Amino acid sequence: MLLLLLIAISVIQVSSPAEELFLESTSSGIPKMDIAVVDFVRKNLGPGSTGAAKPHEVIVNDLKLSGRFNVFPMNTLDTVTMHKKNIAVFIEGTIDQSKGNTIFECFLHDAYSLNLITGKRFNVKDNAVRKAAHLFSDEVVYQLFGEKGIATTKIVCTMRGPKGKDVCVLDYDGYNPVYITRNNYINLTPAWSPDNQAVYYTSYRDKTPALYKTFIYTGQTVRLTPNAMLNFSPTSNPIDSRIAFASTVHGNSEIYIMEGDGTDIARLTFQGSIESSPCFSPNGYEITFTSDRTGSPQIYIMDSEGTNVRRLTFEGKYNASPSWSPKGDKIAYQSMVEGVFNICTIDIEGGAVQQLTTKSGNNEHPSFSADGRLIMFSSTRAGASDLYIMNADGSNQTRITTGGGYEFPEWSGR
Amino acid sequence: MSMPAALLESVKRDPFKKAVTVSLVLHLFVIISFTLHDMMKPRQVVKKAYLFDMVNTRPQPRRFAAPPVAKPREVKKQEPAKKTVEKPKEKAISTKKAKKEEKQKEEPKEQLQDEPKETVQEKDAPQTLQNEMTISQPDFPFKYYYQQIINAVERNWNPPQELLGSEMQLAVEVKFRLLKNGQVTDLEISESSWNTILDKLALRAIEKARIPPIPGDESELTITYRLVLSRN
Amino acid sequence: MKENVKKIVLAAVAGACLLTGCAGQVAVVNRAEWEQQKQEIAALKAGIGGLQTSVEKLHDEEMKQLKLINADLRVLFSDLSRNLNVVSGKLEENQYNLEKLSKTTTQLTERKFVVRSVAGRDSLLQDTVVAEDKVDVQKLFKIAREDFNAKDYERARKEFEELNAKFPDDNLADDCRYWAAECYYVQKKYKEALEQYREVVEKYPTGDMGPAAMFKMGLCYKGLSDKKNMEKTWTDLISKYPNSDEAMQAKARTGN
Repeated sequence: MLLLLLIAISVIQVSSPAEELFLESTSSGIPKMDIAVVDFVRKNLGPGSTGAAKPHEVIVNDLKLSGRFNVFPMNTLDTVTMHKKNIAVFIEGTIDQSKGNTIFECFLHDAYSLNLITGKRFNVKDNAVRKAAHLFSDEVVYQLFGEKGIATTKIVCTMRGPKGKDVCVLDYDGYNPVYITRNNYINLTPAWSPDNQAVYYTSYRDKTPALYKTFIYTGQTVRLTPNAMLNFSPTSNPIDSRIAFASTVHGNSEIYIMEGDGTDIARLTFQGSIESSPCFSPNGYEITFTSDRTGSPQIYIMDSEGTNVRRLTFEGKYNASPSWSPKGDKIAYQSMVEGVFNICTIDIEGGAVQQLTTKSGNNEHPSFSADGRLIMFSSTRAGASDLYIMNADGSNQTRITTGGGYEFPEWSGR
Repeated sequence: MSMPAALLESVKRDPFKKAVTVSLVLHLFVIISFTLHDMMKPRQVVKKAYLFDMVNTRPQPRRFAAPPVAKPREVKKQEPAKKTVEKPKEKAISTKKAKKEEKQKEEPKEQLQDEPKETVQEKDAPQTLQNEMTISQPDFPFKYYYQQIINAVERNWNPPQELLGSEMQLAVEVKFRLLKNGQVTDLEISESSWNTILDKLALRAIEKARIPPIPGDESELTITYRLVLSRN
Repeated sequence: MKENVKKIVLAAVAGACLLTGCAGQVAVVNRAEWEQQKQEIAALKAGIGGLQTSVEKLHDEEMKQLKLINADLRVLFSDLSRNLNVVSGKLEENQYNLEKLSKTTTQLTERKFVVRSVAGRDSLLQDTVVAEDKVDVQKLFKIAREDFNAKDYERARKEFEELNAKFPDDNLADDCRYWAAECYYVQKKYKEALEQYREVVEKYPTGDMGPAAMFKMGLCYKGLSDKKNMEKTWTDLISKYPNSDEAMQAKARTGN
């Protein structure tokens, strides 16, 4: 007993305020590269088309969104300022819109030696200027980081229509919407096929909520689930193209897996609780999903055979719609904090949670970019639900759509 | 008079109260003995808890650490180019070790190297090394490329502090060939840290680094990279 | 002086706590109360006996109602099991919080060790080594899992096996073995995987990975098109871990 008291008192004495001195946190910011983008010089001043996008503006936007650069737009090439600001590289170019088409050349230079790193020439129709500029942005990222950029990737999401919700595909920066469905029914939870050629989604078009696959370039549509129950939130395996989805075939919602053409359905979860929103790991071997088997919805992981189920999230009362990072080390999900959803990420090993959004309104359905640097999500912070992009550490949150009605974003691969 | 008597009576009758009183007496004895014991030498206890050397040692590593942390970042940006541009020109292709000696001969102008030597008297303070990259090509003109390699590698360099054990610092030097497309080949340890895990993590950091393609006409570069784990 | 007063108050509070604890124990042993309870129980028993006879008269009626009650019970039972799940979930959360706490305390003590070893290198070196091992396993396990996620299966397998060999008594030892097996399984090397899964089942029968490893053994047999062993493994699994998710999987796959 004396010993106990002694211990109690020594503990109290040891935990003196001096201890707090050593509780310093180290912030691990990803170093950004300083890049200048000089406005492209307009050649052949004539009756050039004015409607087309300006390539350098698209490039500046791409580089800003990429989360890799501090971008310094410049009107004219000014090496003195660049040296002063310690800018490492710069982009310059020319544009010629006199002959109907848009012809533009862009060059990436080392700012110290002024040596050329890479250059490209594009001759495109006016409506393809954005795509060409995206291509060059990706080339710049590749030349400077050894990794292909994500400027040419796309987003699939649902868009509120006059009567229902439609599935549509956008450029990653919110431009060029293309409707995949236009049927006045409700279409939900779209997902990409691994080759980015097709989109899986739930549709009520035949009265019952079934899964469909639509090829985005041909428009060909196939129904995948024959049953009359609710089938939703499909996700495709990046390796073997199998599809995991949630279905109420056996009463309450459970996870199922099937071949890419809808055959060979197998049940993966057998709890009596509600399991939903599966998402494959990048190596296609594991599935993360939401389950309320312990009373509140939480994130779980299992392998694609349905074995080795383990709980991932322990903080928060309502965690849902998990999305796996391309590197495989993190999962982003939405977590209820003080009555609204916010985006969080969690380390798969160790379980360190990071809350990324704090703005008011619901922030939902996170989805990683193919390089793992960015997260797309929908948010009602500005009223209606729009799409936003942020860096994977929560910084640089940028709105990319306006007008509202955008939900369930999913980012395509490269 | 009646109160204690009545109490005694009731205590005798009830075994429960008896037990309580016995336990009360015992506890009181223990508490009193403890407090007395504690009062006898309270000052010594207090002194032990504060650990004065703890407070003393805290600023010391800072004095070493602060300048190297602040400077090498800038040094890295400009220095590697200068070093490789200026020095190797004089002595052509010298071996790695020769290069190192050169640096140490020339660099004493910098405060970095001087400071630790002065403070060595106090303790067996180790030399404060930093991560350092050297490119074989003497006049490689693309400055941004150095920083991009450093960023790519050091993004993966986050070894656990526990590996240090009782050391203040561990350093491992690796050497590799870089192909035109930024691919790493012939990766090897040129100077081991004698900690197998740290060596492995160093190789891993290089292997997993996404290094951009080599700009310009150079088709291949040989790079030596020293990775340091120091106590922070 | 203030320090002393504080200490005395503290000691008194601690003493009072301990005292009530002792008194509580004494109360349990209180014989008189026990006797009384015994009597009460006897009385209750007599009451129950009376009730029983009256219940027997109503037996026939009861039989009719029994089926209804049975149905009710089933509902109740499923409710109960659901509640049990909820409670176990809460328990998991508590466990997680506890682990988190203990993690922070180990971190704190590590910091102290670091500081002290800087101060006087001789002191407490042993303790730092122990703490060091503990952290290493988790970090290295994480690295190996990263390699697995990056589809670098051979490398991941080597790392898992090395970890298992180096820290055979760690919490993660069975996980390491299991994941080494997974590395084989993903590469469709079923024979090698089978051996590794078997090790998990045999060496760590009470570990978390038992059911999963056993189910995977069945899948390995399936990959080797050895249907007999597959079914045998899964029936074993169902009898050994009847409440596991994997047993349900096995039941579904064997069509039972």
